Amino acid sequence: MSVLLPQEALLKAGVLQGAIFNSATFSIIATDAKGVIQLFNVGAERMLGYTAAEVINKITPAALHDPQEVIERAAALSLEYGESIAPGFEALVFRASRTIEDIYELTKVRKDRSRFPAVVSVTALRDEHDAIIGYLLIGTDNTARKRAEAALLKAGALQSAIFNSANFSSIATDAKGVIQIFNVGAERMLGYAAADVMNRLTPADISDPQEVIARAEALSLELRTPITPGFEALVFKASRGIEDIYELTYIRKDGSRFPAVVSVTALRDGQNGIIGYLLIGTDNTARKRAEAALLKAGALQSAIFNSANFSSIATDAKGVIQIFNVGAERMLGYAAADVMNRITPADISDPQEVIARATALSLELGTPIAPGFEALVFKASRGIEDIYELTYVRKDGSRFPAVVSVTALRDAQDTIIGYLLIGTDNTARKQADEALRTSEAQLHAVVENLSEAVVVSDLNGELLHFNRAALEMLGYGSVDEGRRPLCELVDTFELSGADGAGWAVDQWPLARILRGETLRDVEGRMRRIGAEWQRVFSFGGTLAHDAGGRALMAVLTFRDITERKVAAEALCQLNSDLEQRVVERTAQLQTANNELEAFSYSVSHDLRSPLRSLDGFSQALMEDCADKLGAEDLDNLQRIRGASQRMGRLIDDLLNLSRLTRVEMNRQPVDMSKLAREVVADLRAGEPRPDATFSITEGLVAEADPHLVRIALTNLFTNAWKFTAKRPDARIEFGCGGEEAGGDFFVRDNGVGFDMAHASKLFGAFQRLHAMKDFPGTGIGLATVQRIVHRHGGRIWAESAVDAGATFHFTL
Amino acid sequence: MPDKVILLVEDNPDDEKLTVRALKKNNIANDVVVACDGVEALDYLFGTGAHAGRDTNVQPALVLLDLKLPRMDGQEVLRRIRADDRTKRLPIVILTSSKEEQDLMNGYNGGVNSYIRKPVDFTQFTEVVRQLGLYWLVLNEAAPA
Repeated sequence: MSVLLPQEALLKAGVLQGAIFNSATFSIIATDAKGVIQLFNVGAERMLGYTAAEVINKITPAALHDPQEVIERAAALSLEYGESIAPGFEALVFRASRTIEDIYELTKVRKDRSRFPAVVSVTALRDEHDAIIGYLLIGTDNTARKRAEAALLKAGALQSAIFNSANFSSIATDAKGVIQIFNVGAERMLGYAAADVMNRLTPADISDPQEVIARAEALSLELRTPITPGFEALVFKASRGIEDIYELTYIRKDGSRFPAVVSVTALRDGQNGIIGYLLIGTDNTARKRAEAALLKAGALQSAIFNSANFSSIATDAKGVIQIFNVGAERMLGYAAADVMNRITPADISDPQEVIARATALSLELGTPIAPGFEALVFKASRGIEDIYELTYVRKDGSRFPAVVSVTALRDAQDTIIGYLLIGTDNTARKQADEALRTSEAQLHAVVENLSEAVVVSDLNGELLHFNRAALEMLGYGSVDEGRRPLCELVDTFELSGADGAGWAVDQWPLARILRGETLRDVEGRMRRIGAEWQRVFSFGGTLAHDAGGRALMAVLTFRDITERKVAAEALCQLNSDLEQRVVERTAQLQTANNELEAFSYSVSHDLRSPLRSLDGFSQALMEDCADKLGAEDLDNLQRIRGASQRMGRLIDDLLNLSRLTRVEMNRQPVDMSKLAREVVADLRAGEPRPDATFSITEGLVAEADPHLVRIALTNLFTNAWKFTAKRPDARIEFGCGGEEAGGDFFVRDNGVGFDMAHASKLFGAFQRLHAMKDFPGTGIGLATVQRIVHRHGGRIWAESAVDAGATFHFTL
Repeated sequence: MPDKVILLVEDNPDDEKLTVRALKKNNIANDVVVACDGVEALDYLFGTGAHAGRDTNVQPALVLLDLKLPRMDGQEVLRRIRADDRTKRLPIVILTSSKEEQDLMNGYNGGVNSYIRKPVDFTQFTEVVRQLGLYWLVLNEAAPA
């Protein structure tokens, strides 16, 4: 523990606190026992965007965190401790109030509502009676660390370094936990030879049994599944893909014990199946002892020293590294053993920068300074607090920007005994700066190239900036030409509202914005006095504020909507014309419909009367003059009667057809199969033909007007019935085809069929493809069916050949 | 009721002649009074106009009413008959060429007793007239005068 020497010294000197407290690279927040902020250092101000005055005695640190995460943390803690923990400040400090210290990751929320990942270390502050008087929360921005970790893992450097090190025990097991690899570090730490344990023991056998039991219980509770107190308890989280690092007491072969920090990883094959586990352990004794010493002196140091978020490097007076904390290890990729007593911080710094710094300091301080470690600590050695930016070089040669704070460590006689260099990874900030510059440039490019005009004025209405579109729309040649106070513009421009009423200058959009209004789509006309043009603009805009909510400037935007207005007016006129036309057409249509009604009425009434006379008086003649008429006379009279009656039927069918287009549709689910059976039953009742067979597919349904569909089916079946009359094996089929899912019904017969050459005439009214004497009919049936199908938005088509039957398909 | 007349309201002389023939062929002996339009029909029933002075206590056994008539159509005639105490219980059969739904609805709404569409086939028409006569003149009990 030679390293303890400078540590003790520095702790005694108390310089660490000073260095840290004044550093802007981490936030330090102290609260009273209830959580109300009492202290808010410069780092906290910088990271969180609040000034100390805004938070002290006003809020608790809970208000600076992601509320969702605070709630989750409270829930997790409630579960872990079996008591109710409020989702607020209590959740942040509960562990610290119970134990000595707590370090966790949380998302912090800045004043401007932006977020960043932070590592927070919490310590309870106690008075001399050990009563809690407050809490200390130290936070660091974790963005850079997150990135470094990812890179490190990618390179695989950490694993190989660890596995070959005698400082780490690497124990690999098979899937059941039986030890398969037991490296030299494990042998040294645990006192077993590899042969003693391989294929014999599991890591649980070399762990404290009480702790294994306690761990199994805790995990069972946390993960809500029973976990056996044995090897399973050691690897369960890792087996679920959860990264797992925990503290455990290992038992050596000789029965002695030591605290270890164990990191567990599941080993997986190509199919991602677990084939074993790797447990990497480090002897934690030294750290524990150091921690104890540190804690005795104060929790702050410990929090910092244990944090992986900043590198703490202490050297002796000549610069040789004596302490290299875990943060330094992580950031720089070296193990402490690699550097301690071997190199100086200058060896891990960019040599060019060290030279440049030496040159600059030589010039600044008027004394020659060597380009090496001296350049890094010279100011600190003169009692000047020194914080500077520097590029650190990792073990693998990669680089990162760091902010380094240097303090000289002094003994009781004020002699320098060493230096403390605290560094933080500055990558994130550098990148943020770069991103800000890029985004500013982009924003400028966007504003300049907007088709919308943008004008910026100060709060007094002094116009400052016009983008390109603004210059064009206002007719200015340059920005300078437009840089005038708003009130002077009344000499140049006239503005009026959409209604044509003129606007006084205090009604102008920019004047309204300056009074605090936010404008959107305010329409106005603008005319340049003395110029011919008048344009219609749509104005918008608002005051722009800084992060503190203070108004900075007014932003006015507008776009030329003259063309749009003209088009809209034309459209409006067109619409009104169209409406007028629709009214006229509707009236015409109504008239036409009324005429049609009247016509139908006449047809049904007036056309039938003469037919009745023809038929009636022919009959009368046949009866009254039967003795005077020859057989041919009677036959002629009979033909007159036949013709009259046929015409009567034609008129009726025509009327029915026209009625189909007028009747209102009433769509509902229709059982097509049932309907077909009823139609067939009617046909059979009208003309029994025992030799005819019907085949009707069951379960066919459609969304249709039942009355109209019945008429359609009746017509189709009647046709099939009629055209199979001369077949001894008449067969009529009703089913559903596959061509259009769910919609294609068909009626098929094996009757006389027709020539497809005439198919186009099939659905016209009065079109007949067969001689009247063979198959009587009016030629209206298929026209009726087609009209019904069309009214349902469906289509109908036929397939047939002479003497090969016919199939009528339709959709609804 | 062979003593009571049948009032045939019909403007078409062919139809008139055929109806009368069909009645005779069915041995319906009642006298047939013909009115050629709606006004004449009402004159007969209410003893006005050409029929002034007719004893309106004597009303027809049956009115056969066409719908499409000159001067006053059948629906209006029906309305007036039903509106008058002397005639409101008369059996009235609409005998027409129309089977427009609207005509049917108006007829029944107006209180017609029966609605018959004249078939073109005279054989069928004769059968219709036979059944009408049998029903309204023989089977049906008329309201007391």
